[in-house]
Amino acid sequence: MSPTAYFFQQFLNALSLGSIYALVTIGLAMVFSILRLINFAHGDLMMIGSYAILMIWDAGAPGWVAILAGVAISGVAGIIMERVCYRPLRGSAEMTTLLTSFAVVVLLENGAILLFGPNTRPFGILNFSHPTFSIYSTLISKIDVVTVILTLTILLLTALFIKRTTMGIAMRAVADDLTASHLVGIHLNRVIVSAFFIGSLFAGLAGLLWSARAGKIYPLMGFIPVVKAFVAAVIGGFGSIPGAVIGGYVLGFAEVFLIALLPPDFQGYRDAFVFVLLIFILLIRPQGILGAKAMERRI
Amino acid sequence: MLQVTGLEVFYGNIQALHGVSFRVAAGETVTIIGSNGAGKSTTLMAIAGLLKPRKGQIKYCGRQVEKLSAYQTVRLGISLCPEGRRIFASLSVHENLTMGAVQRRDRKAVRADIDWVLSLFPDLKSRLEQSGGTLSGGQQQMLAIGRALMSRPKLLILDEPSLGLAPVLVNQIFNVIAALKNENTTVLLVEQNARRALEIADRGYVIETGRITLEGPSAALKNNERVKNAYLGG
Repeated sequence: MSPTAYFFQQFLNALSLGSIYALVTIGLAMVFSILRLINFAHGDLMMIGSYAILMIWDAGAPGWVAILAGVAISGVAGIIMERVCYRPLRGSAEMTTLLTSFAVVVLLENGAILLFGPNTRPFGILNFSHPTFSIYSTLISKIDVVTVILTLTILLLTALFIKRTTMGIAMRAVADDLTASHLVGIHLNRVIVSAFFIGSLFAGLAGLLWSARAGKIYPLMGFIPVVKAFVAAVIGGFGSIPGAVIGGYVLGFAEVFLIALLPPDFQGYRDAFVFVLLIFILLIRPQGILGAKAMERRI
Repeated sequence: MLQVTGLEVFYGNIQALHGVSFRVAAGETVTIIGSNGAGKSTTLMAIAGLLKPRKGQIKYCGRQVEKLSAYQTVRLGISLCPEGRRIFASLSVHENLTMGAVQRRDRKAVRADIDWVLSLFPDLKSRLEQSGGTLSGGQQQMLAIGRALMSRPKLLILDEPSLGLAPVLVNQIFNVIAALKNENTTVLLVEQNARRALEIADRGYVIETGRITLEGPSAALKNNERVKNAYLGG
């Protein structure tokens, strides 16, 4: 394979991985910008969505029905998570809600192990019969193309939503000044529920793409992506939604090209590189690429 | 229109209001004057639903509202323009005004009201797409008042609208309050600029360490020796 073809292959690979990271990170950032809550259980919504899709599909539903229903279930699961786990703690210290999110992780992951068993299951949806095609001797996998197109569409819609709709503006208003948003009459719970719902839908979708890429699912599958999304959020500037997108893609590219450029012996250290990157960013620019405001206690 | 009776508000264990009572009739402009820490802002925040009083009643248009949240009091027509402006710094001027009307569904009327606010504060007209944080202090105050007006309140509450502004801008702000008064808007005004406040208000209250200590028509308060010495600079 020519170096150019190899480069393009890796480029698409990175774009696809970065897209998934961006999708996961948006949800993390949306909730954080409003509640100052880092919801580590966000990754488990990917797991819930993927299991839901697989089970509905196994029950005989057509693939697209399973996908829509599974993603919707993930969204609803996010709303329930907010209502049951986080709303009772509204107003408590950030450390409390952060620790609670770890408790939710333990609960959901062990619940999934009990319910579905600890083993991996093959995930056959979006598993195209011809998974790759080639253009000018560049091998292109279909799941990457689907991932990139789908994500870019969603990013565009999200940008429009945040920029144009009353709810989108209200989300930015709450992130800006909580007291003032109360005073103008913003119904805070509605904004919070919307943020959880949208973020969780995206998590469900990211779960689908992640699982289709891996070809398998397992109860603990949400852990790595949520930690990566955390890193991406730090890279982009925690709480900033454009930052979440940028952070997601930066991380995707950094990961793929580090592996592509380094000798094969180092490939096992892929995740280690990510965390070294995190440490560097925390040292050099802790507010991230687009972050400006210091973290402070809200709500 | 507004009747506050025996209001007691605590911050933790510290009592900020010790039974504050006053009333505002429809169409009236009423001012509360007092020094820093006397409890002016606390009173206003309790009315707006940001703070829950431990004791006392707030009756507004015949309803008990002391247990309501801010979004509910806004729905009933109470709008508080807070001290320190608190505009949304990363939102554009236009978006700030839109958020002032966040509960309204009559889009056409909202658009008309944005034009109305811009006619009250022409300085904002050319800055609609600028983000709030880039405005000068005076423009931010205008935006804050404009945003508070966007909910079309029956009761407009202004907390220190002239604080930290140059005299020219103070005049401009008070001219707008006068204009709103002429349109029969009910205004509750808290000001450290007691002289200007008493000039524009129909009636006034003096609050000291969480208690109302004096009340009366503005003209009477202006000539009161205690008010003169304490708030009007002798």
